[in-house]
Amino acid sequence: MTVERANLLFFDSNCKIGKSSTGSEFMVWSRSDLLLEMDRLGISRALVTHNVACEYDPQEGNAKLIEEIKGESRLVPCWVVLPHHTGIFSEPEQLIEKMQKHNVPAVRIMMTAHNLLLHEICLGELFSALQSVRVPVFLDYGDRHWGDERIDWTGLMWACSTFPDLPVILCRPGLNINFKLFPVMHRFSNLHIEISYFQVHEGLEELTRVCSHEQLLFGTGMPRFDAGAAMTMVSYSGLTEHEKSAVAGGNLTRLVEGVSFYGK
Amino acid sequence: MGSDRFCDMGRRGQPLDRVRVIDAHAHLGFCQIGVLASSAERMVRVMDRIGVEKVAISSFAAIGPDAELGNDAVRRVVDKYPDRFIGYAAVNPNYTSEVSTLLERCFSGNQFKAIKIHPSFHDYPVCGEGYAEVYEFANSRGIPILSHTWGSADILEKLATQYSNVDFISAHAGGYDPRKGNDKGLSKLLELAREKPNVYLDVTFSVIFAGAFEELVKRVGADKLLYASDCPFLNMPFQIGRVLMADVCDEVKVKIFGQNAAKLFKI
Repeated sequence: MTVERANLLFFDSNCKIGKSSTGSEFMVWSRSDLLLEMDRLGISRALVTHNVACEYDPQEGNAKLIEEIKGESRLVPCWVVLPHHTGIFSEPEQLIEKMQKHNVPAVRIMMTAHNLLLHEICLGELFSALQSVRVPVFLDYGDRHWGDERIDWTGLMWACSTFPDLPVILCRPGLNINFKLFPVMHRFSNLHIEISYFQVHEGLEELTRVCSHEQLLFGTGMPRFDAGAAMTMVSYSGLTEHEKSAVAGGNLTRLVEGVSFYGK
Repeated sequence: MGSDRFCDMGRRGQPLDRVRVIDAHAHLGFCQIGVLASSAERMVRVMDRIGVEKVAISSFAAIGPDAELGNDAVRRVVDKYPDRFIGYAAVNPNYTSEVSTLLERCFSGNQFKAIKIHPSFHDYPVCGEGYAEVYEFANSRGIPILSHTWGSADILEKLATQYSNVDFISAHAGGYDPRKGNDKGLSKLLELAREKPNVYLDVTFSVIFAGAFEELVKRVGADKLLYASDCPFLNMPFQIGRVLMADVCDEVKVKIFGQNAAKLFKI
């Protein structure tokens, strides 16, 4: 007997909008094309960062993002930010005020592109402020091949242990880091992964042996990467229907709605 | 949402029905690069969840240090699950004197339907002496050969012409990046697959660039592409999505999912 399964509500945690340096006509970079592709596949919402913020000027890109997704409730903004000592961004408290004004519930830190230190000296004050309002922090090490591992594990453990109430999300971890990832996910319940490239056979299932399914977030890597396969990685996983629903969108919804100022 | 019945099944995680799904490139055994849960039993569980009928496997041991050890493991798994697994016999050309004995042994039974070579792991040239015996053997019996890489489209064309009774499968076409579609080497491979009757491409790869699969279908044609997962090296539910959720018609998906592989492996 075939058990009919309900549609999962997918909320994409790793999506970008806007043209890219290495983009092409094959990539759905505009708001309208992105929404069309989300409709075709059945993705309900997406947390979006602007490519101009990732690849050029974060301030300009963040402003462009707000403008381009205005009025579209399915697209939730995520800003690229830098610590204030760079002189490019303001003090953390002022940054948070601005985020509150524009209802931005998440930030992306371009660890590789901006060559940042995952350490108290560089990111301590920023993380402290973000923790106070529970803003999730996405650590972006770039769209690297799985053989090109760049994660600063010591720094990652510093961030998770020093700021236990800060949701930390590792973007796009690849398939060859399991032997490091598993114990770290087990130790730090505030460490999450965005699973778009977590191409590990029975990876989601095995991870939930050592950590909670609440630490896994569906993500696609759109527009550079295809989204459909990221969906089937969840839908055909051996997780329970409740766990699948959480990974597909429930976990990210909880994180976004957990931000003290979001939606107010 | 799109009305494609396959997309609908994929969104809901519904086991695929009314379609043969034959995975043309997968593996068995332990792999050093963080592969987990690699037993045949767990693979069958995943196959059942998705609705994959059969998976063609070579052993990581066989494309690694010990071909005989690995091929024996594949033999045992196919004996245990004859309706679910197809064996690829692998050889290490660095041990040239063993090649013919290994192949004779593998193809004396019915567990193996094709040959797998891995010139990268074995650090051996595709046109090297150690592989010549493999091509002759395969050609004499009409056995398909899958390779991780054929070096270049020119080399593959030469081999496919010389050994016209062999169906050559080039792995990892799924890594095709349509932004680089005008790259001469890549374009030549796609054209070769399109034009040469005995050249096929499998579509597994760790990433799927936007529009890649749809573009592959346009450039190569649905008849020469083979669905594959590279499981347990890669995640089977992810890899199925490449075809399942693609913006192509159902007829194309059915061919790539299993019709092409069924003809190739004669099953």
